[in-house]
Amino acid sequence: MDMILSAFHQTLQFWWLVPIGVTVGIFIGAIPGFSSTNVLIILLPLTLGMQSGPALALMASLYAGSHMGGSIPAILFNVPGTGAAAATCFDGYPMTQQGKGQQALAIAFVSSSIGGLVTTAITLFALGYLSKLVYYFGSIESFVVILFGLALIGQIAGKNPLKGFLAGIFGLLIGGIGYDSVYSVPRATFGVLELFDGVPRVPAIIGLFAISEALTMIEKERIIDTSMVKKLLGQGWKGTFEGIAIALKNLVAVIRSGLIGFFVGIIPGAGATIGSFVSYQQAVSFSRHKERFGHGNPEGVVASEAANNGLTSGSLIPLLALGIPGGGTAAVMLIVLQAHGVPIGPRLFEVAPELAYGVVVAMLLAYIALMLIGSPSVRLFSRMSYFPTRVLAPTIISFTLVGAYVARGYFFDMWLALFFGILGLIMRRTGYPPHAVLLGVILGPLSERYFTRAILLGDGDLSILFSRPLGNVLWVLLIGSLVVPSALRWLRSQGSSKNSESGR
Amino acid sequence: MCRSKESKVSDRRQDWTVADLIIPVLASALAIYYLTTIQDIPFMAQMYGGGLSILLLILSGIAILIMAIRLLVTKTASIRLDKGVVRAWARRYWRAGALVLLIVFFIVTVRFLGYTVVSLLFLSGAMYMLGSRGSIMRLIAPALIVTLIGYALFVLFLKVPLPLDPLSLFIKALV
Repeated sequence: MDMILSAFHQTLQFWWLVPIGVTVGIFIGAIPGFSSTNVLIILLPLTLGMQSGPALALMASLYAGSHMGGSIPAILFNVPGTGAAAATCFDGYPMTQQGKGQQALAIAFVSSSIGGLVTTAITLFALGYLSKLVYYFGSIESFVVILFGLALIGQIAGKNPLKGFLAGIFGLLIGGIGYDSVYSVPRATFGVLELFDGVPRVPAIIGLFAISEALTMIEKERIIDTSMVKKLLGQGWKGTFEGIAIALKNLVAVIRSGLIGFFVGIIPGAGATIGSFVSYQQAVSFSRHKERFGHGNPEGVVASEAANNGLTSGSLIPLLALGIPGGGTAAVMLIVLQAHGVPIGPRLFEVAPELAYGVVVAMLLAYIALMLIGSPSVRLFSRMSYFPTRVLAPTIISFTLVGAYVARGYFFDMWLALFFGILGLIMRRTGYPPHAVLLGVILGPLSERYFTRAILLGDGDLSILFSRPLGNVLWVLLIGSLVVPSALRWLRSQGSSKNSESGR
Repeated sequence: MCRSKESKVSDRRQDWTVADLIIPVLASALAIYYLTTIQDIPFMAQMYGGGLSILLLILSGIAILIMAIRLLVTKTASIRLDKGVVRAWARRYWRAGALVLLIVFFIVTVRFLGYTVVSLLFLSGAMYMLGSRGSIMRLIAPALIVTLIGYALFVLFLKVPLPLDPLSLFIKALV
């Protein structure tokens, strides 16, 4: 406890770095193709020149801000700023189309802040215990966690299961292009050198969402009905307050989603995208109104946003406790710690515990700042969706093409984004869900990597997948999360039909 | 009663059109190509991708079979490619097609002409094609503003190594 108080005292000395980091993070996260990792790398010379405490506080704030920023274009234009915000598009964009963009943004900001706050507080008090969880996660457990996310394909399939599953498996196979992660053998690369590392996820996201959306939106004058824009301009802060109220009304869902994201974050390498997809899938499974998801259901925005921000503190645990960077952002933080000569792993808590707890405290402050900065700016952000599509569509395309290029610096990735854009347009027009392809492209390489490693451990025997206690618990939870909600719905429908019969 | 039957049939028609086969055909092509490229790799590395390819071929086969039944047996789908269909199709998608061509122009020329020039040309061309009219300034101004924002953000702040034209290089050197 003394250590936590001392960390608070130390971090508050440079508290002013936190709002700066959060604001920059929000803006950079909102640009498709740019992640917190990009920003941290750009600012590396600056952070290396600072003392380790302030440097880590600035990084933690940027990290938290960028996760939130990604949801802004996801909600307003169906263009996820980061992979983690892809699940936010499912319900956020339909809300914007219904004239509820301001509401959706407020829900996203409040859910993100609360989800992040709760899980950061847990990290702060239970860092030592939680770090031991990392040891129990092997390939089998990670594979089952990814299956939670992939189960979403079944739910996206909805009306037309054949088209949904076909799209999902098509995406998984696209994700399988490139080097095999275990044997390093290239597969289905069409002889293109740029595909040997696999299909990069950023151009895929940009194509399937941003470019195909831009090609679709030009059929209308505006995203929102022109008649509605005047009404919305006069609504003032109403949407913001409504959004905050909705998020607070769904507090249990916010905390639950934040915790799902948090536990996914603890798994090294899992990443925010998996966290938000798993959380969204769970929200759909356990909702009484499954059919409302994908059509502008605020619960969908809550699930995705609370999870991808709940994940940030979870992803710091492997780094702080074991010295294993859980993702790109944590890897950059590791570089800064090493450059300052700070010992990594369990020794960090012996030599510089105030630094380990200080990062978590900075993140806690970042989420408070996020709520204070984010919520009032929602009204301003939402106005971007009122622009006519003749300006909006070319702007989205010119910005996102650069976003596709940034990650690897290949012009080929711009072509890839265009290919996925045309694919997305065809899919939208013929009733195949592009979300299912994206889910496959993102989760496919990870699921393959963990599956192949597990099979190698078992020497080709598939029963290895059911050989570990934590893995088996996760299998039960996975099957339970798929079967229990349907069984409950069936029981409820049986009960209500009996009641109506007895009423007659 | 009769009406509801008719509407059900038309719903079914809307549910599946021949264009719906584009994705299954693309998916099958990828699956077959994928299978040919994994023939010589260890079995354990084949399991995941090979399994997915076979599953994809089965699902695509079902989709193609459904379409064949609709075309030949139940007659709830049809292949019409007369002038009227092509005209309607062209009317609906000419803007999307033109925008795709402009994107191709952007990607091809950006490495030679530089980001700022190509972005300005792309944005003003796309905005004009999508219906922005009036004086040249009214057309150029939004394109110029967006280009300058992009330049400041990507080149000056985020240091993205984009190809630049001589003028942009000069501004960058000054900043």
